[in-house]
Amino acid sequence: MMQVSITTLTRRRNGSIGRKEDIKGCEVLRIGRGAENEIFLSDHRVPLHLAELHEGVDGLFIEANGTHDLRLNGAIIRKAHLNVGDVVGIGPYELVVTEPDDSIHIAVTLELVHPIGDDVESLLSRSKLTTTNIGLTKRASSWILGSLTLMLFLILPLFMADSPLSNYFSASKSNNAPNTMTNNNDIDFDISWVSGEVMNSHKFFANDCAACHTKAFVMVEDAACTACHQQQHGHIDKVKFPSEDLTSTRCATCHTDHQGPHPVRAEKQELCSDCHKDLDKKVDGMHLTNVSDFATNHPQFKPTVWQNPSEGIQKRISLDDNPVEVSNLKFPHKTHMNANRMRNPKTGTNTQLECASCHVPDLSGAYLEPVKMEEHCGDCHVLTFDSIAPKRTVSHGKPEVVYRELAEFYSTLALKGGVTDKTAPKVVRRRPGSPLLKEEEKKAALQWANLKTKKASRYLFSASQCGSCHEITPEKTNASGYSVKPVKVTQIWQPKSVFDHGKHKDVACAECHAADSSMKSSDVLLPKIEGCQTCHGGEQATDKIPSTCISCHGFHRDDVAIMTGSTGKTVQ
Amino acid sequence: MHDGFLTYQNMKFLKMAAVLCVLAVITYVWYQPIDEHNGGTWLGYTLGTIGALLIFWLTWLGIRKRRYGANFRLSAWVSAHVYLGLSLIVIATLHTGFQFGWNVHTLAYVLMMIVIISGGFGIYAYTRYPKVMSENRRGSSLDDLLAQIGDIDRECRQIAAPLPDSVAELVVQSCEHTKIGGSLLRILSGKDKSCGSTAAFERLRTHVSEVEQEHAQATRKLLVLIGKKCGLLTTVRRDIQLKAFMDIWLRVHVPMTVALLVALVIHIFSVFYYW
Repeated sequence: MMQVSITTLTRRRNGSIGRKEDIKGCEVLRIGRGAENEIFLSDHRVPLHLAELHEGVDGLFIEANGTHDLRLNGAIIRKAHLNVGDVVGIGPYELVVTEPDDSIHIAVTLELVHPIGDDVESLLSRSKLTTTNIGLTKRASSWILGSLTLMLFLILPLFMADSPLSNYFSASKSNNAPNTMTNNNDIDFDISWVSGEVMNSHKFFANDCAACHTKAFVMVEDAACTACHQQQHGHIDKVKFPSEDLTSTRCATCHTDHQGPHPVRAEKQELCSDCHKDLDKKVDGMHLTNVSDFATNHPQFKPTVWQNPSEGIQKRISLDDNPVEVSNLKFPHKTHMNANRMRNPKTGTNTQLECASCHVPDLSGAYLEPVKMEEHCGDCHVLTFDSIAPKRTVSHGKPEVVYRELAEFYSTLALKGGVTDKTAPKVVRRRPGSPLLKEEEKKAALQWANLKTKKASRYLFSASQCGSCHEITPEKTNASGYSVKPVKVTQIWQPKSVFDHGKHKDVACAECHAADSSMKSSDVLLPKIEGCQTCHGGEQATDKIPSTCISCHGFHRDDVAIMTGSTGKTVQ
Repeated sequence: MHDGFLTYQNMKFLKMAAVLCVLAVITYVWYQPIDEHNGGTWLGYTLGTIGALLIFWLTWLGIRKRRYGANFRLSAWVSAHVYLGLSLIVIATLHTGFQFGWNVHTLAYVLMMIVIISGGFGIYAYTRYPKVMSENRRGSSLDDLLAQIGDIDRECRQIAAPLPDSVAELVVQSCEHTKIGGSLLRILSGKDKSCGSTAAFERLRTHVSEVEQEHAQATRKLLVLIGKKCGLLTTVRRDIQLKAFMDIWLRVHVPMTVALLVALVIHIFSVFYYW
């Protein structure tokens, strides 16, 4: 225990110094702002535990705590020996070591030499320590931002743009005006409400929101669509099938807009399969088969084939039931694809026919043009009839027309004369151009012509000529004595779907159509669904081409009445 | 504990928010809309409703937490505010179906993201900066530090009194041309390139070898003092910088929230107005 004398000096205004001595007994003299310190300095500039003073073997010793530092005679130190007369700066205080009395181990004087003064105040007056009063207050900027947003994005679009509301207030604009081919596509304030890019075909009026959004807070009605799309057909006869699923369906259910530039947005098969997966349960006596997925639940193709061309009867028959088409045409594909059998009668050379020799794509590229006798068969199947005129042919037409052509040809020849055939009567062999003077001569010439006509007719309508392709029957009522059964070859096997040959042009024809083994034109050379399914899968297919209903089928059917009116219902 | 709200009740609200987000993501992936994912599908409407209700509720919470009542657990409310607020990033983004454009709808989304990001900074500031601040001040208060600076100024003036003008003017520069903070950017930068004390210190350091022998010791003392003052100034500037950081995010968070609420109401109004 050492005895310490602490003398606190106070300078008075008159210059005198007040002294107050305090004697304490302690092991270590602690200095700091904390009340537990022996030298307790209640000034905020002094740390709580600033330093400690010891009396060591080699005299007095001061050491600062922690990271604090001290000033010993003006120099900054952390620890030091102290001698009498040393001045230690403790914050605003000065501690001076003095000569102790006999009973005292350590004597110090303590003086507040730097009371809190004007320097701090002047520093603060130049400074700005908080952001509180800088710039706008939170409240002010909230008001400004909020009002700006309200004005730009609500007030202006609502009242300054052509909207159902502004139309309501403005007498000059009639809300009932037909919105066909809009005449207003100016950008308006409600541009900021556009939720996404409209489809390309709507862009020419897309800035006029009210063109489609005719009523506020009401979903776009079908009437807005049919105002322009006046010729669009419906899907079913809604009078016969007033199904809630369909009558409640809006155009926009499938044709969603504001989703990008592509026209038909909805291709999901569930849009169709929702109804078509169990049609039999929905409609009594439903003749359509249920279908929900091309790969897993789709009926076999049922091509429409001719059953009785004379009566105009066609029938849909499943490929599983081996349909036979009655086309009244005899045509063996196999023979025509065999080069050995294909000798051109004019050139005498053999030709290998390709599919494309007869089947030519139409302008769309999707379908094939009908095969024409004159164009595609006529090169070989020449309709000549008499060796005396080896280049002379008849038209590929009706029997009576053919017969008339023959009669005209032979009559003209007979009356003109100059026929070289020795079996012909003299009168037709006479010098060409010399006049027929006698009535008997005319009769004989025409009799000859008549005989020749009948002969040529028999030849042409024989099984080796017309009869090689056509069904020929004797027909007394016809001038020619024959009739040809009408030929009807199916142009489009599957009229309820679209098959684009152009998209499949890189696939060899024979991959799908087994023409090279077909000997009868009654063969329906259409691949079964399994053939398509080798490449095409359902919507969810990952290892095949995902194909949805509308990949092949259309929703709007030309055989159904046009959609119109605000209800979207079909009219008959 | 400044981050008490983060760990409140074993992170109850973090778990709630996480469940909400995971459910939203799973539903989003599972659900195949007829067209593209967007705010107009049933999932879009659902997520939009949840998002809008969260925004209104979280805003109300911002007002609520300023009121103090008996049955009010601040950390509970703040915890909910933070975690459910962050969950809006997932909820609202899925609501958009990642369809963005130059319109009021994306404006609402962008404002929401600004609010969330500023709030995120607020979380960071409130959990990190108090500790950084006390480490920076090493146990002293700001007033202590300012008083110490004042003391140094006073001491410098006393020491400089008998010194040549070339030195005394540096002391005047240090004492009278030093300021702390000022403009918003200066406070936020935590630095002052035109600090009188720093300039004085640099000039004094080069000048100290040139003064006469009799003034050398006093000049060196000044150098030490002004150097110490510069250190204190750095500490003070860092302190008010951190304080400003803790304040400034709210000055983005609050006005943007107000703008968001307006934009959100307009968004909801406009999509149904032009349904």
